[in-house]
Amino acid sequence: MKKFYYLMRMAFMTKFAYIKAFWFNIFGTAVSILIYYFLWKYVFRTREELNGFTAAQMTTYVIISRVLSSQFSGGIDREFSEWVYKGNIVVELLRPVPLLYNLFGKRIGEFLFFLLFKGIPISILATLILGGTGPAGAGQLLLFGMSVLVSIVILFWIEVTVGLIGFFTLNVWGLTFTKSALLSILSGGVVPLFLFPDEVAQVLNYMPFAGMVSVPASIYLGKYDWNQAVQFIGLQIIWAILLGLGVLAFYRFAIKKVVVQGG
Amino acid sequence: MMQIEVNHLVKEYKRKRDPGTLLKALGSMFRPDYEIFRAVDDINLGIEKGEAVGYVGPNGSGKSTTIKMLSGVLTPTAGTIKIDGLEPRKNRMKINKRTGVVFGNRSVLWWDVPVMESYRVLQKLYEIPEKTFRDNLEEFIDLLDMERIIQVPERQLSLGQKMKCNIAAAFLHNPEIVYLDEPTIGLDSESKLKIRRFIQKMNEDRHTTFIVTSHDFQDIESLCQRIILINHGKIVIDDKIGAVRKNFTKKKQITFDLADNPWSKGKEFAIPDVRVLDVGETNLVLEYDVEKTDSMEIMNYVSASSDIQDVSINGQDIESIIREIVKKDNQGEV
Repeated sequence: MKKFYYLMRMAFMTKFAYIKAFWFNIFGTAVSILIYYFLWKYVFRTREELNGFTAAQMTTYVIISRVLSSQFSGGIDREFSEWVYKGNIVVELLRPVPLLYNLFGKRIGEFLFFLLFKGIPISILATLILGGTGPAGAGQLLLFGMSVLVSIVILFWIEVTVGLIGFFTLNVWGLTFTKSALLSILSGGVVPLFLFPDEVAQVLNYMPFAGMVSVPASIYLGKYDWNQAVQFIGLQIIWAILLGLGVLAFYRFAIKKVVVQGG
Repeated sequence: MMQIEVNHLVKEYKRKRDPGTLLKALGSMFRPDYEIFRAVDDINLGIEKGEAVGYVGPNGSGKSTTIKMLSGVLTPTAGTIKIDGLEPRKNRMKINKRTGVVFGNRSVLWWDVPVMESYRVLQKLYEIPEKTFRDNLEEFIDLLDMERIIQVPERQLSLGQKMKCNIAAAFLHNPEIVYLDEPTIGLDSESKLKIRRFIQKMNEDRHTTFIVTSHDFQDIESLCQRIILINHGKIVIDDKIGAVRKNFTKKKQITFDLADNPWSKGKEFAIPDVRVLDVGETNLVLEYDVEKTDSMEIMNYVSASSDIQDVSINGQDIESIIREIVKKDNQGEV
């Protein structure tokens, strides 16, 4: 646990070293919130509600979805793949902790940084300024937090998979780009899932991606009752475990084929 | 029991064949044409605890591949490796804890944070007791003169400073084996000297086993007692450095400073098998084979025709010996 704490701390400190660049990152997210806010404002000009969402709830959905999906373009996959194609993976493999443990510590450290410097302040500020609604209740807020936590694990497995594919393609730029675009759409990060055709929305609701934006946002807004919320989080946990097992198997296979480039 | 035992080690890579034309390159995007490339070809070796071994060979001879297999990063195609009786591939974490690595072109530290913070993380990862950590750190800071650099982030350090920090990092957990891959590449002579002294001290005081790969033969000569030469994935020589020098030094160079040099005026050098390397107004440089010609014979011959002011005889250095062995090996003579 101590090891994990120190790995996390290192990721946090590394992020902190780039705090100036991070202001621009925050600025980018703020702008994207504004764009979506005005888009929805236009939609709500002629109506009171859309599929049970009031204008204020939609504003909150926009804030939560933009902030959560801004994580999709970050993460450890880029760095992981850089280790692979620059050959630094050899250094990481020689550390006395398993590579995935190391990466997970790093990912959680980055997540905490995200939460502290972007997630929480931006969400609160934007809600106050743009007039969104608060959480449906203390219980919902708690479940929302749990859902986000589980979704980080799922996101981590996806990022590891993208990085691992780098073992074979030796470069993942195209792939990371595809990943963030697909995740944004499938998770409900761009538009709420209910705007998809019914059948598609039904399927997407039960996919692991929904857990990254749609499920936590719906829980936060009180769109799910207690039972539903717990069931969706349970489903997320099952996905996290299943994906984890799959990625572990893929990892064991891929690591055998590691070709370390350069020297 | 040897600390490191390697038997019939083989590593093959699949390498994409160069398609040649652009059109074929397009075709190979879908159906790549592979060829098998044997980077390490049936290597056997045993290394005792506390030995310092120079692992040398030309670029692409299979040095790094061997080291990567020894450390468990790469899976051998065939053959076995035992380190203290353990197979590195299957006991990676155990082996990692006992080994240290230094790569001249890579860093084990975290780029953006002060070096000391990196050391702290290494301490936790390797589970180094606080006392050992402090003692080691104090000793290393003193030996490598790092006092002022450990509070600075790595990205702000010079190449030499980075290397020092990385070498210290490799020894913090009292490793039993340390792999040094080009540890002094690109460093100035002062830093090289410090680093070599440090490594020697670790070898003497702590009986750390070393495997050093380097193209700087001064590294090898000053650090290692034993040399293993690998070429095209095969071991060509595995012997004590002294023995290699004795067995393979056949040529010597003799340089004369002469008052008057008749050979510069067209006189024939009359001893067979002696090569005239350079001839000038007052100097004469000859190369001869010690098995065929005696140095006294040359001295007598030269002094008979000229007045010798100064003379020096040089044997080959280990670098040129190795170069010749590799050359012969490439021609299939060894």
